[in-house]
Amino acid sequence: MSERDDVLARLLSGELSAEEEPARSMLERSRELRSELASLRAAIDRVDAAAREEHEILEEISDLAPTPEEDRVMERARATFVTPRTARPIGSISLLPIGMAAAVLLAIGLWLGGIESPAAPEAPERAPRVLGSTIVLLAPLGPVADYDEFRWEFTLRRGQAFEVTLWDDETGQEITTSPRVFEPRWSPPVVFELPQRLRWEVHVLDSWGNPVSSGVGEASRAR
Amino acid sequence: MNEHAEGQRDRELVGQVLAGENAATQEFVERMRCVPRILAAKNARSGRPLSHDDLADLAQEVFSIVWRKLSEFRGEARIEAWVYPFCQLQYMNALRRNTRRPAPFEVDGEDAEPDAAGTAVRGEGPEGLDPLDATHVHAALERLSEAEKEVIRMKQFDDLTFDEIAARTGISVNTAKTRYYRGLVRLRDLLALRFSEEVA
Repeated sequence: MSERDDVLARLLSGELSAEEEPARSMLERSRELRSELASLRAAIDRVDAAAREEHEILEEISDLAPTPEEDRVMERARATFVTPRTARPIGSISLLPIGMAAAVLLAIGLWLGGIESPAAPEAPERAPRVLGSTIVLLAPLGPVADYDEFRWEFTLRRGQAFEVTLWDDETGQEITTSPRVFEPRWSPPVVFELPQRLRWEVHVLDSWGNPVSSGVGEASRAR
Repeated sequence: MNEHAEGQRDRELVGQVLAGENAATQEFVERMRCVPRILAAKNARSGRPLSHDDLADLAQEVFSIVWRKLSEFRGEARIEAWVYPFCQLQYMNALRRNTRRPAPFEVDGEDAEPDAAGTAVRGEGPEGLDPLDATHVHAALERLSEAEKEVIRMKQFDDLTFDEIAARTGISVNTAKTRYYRGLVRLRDLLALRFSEEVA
């Protein structure tokens, strides 16, 4: 660093005052140096103001009680927080790519399951289908009284996690995606109203959020 | 517990989250309650230009960014302080979308890279923010190199001395001062690109 820059750095950091040498004589001689110092101090003032605001806001929020609005955000966040691959604001989903992806997954599932037509409400209970490795879906499958708990079988490796996505089987619209779960079971929050015909998919994710295995199942609930 | 000790404790927590530990993940998710709160506080200070729904959507965007960048968390500060700039930047981007004005320099809060200097915007507030709003400072900080940003944050936000900064980062005191000075020069220039500022 040049002597000029070194003096400026020391002035800005408070190590050197403008009345001390060599700062005093350099500032006296150079209008440009005085201007540079002033503009950098102005920038520091703005950074200090930003720092003060940050500290104030973090202090302000630290003792707040949760609100229903905040809890709703957290509920939605739990469905997307640990799945950046699928994270997107609920209500602003573009259905076309989701519909296409769902169609591809369904086609693969149908091919693997040997079923020639989409799920019918009165279809008999069918075996869970597997995509990829040996994940086995247990329940709910086929006609059920209600969707209580989603269960499957798979042994996670270190760093892996499950993610469950629910779809309305009639409209193809995604209902919700779970946060990462580490047990082979999950129940959706009661805030979500589940449809009569449901399709659910379990992904096994590695620590980077990449899917390594999947299972797809369908279920229907009597009205 | 001081900020540094909290940061180190949070570093352990994040490590557990990345390793897939359920209890740690649940604790981390609860700590992310700071995101909607920061956004709401920022929105209140800016005159509430965004609605509750806007803020809820924004919070989810921040959550996604936080998760993608979580492996970069080094525990220099606690999680809430680390998350804070993401909230600021996404808030700015949301305002920009709402006002449909192009920003002289755009930051997505993820992998912002220095671009060529943009057009100066004089005497007005892009995105509807006060020209002196702190959000612009955070946006400009994101345009610095990681090394410069780190030293400036430690010096100005955490109020550390250069000796302390050098000890924590493993660099020499002179290197810390150099990064600080060069970062400030760049920061000054970035802020001046957006607004005209009176200099004494």
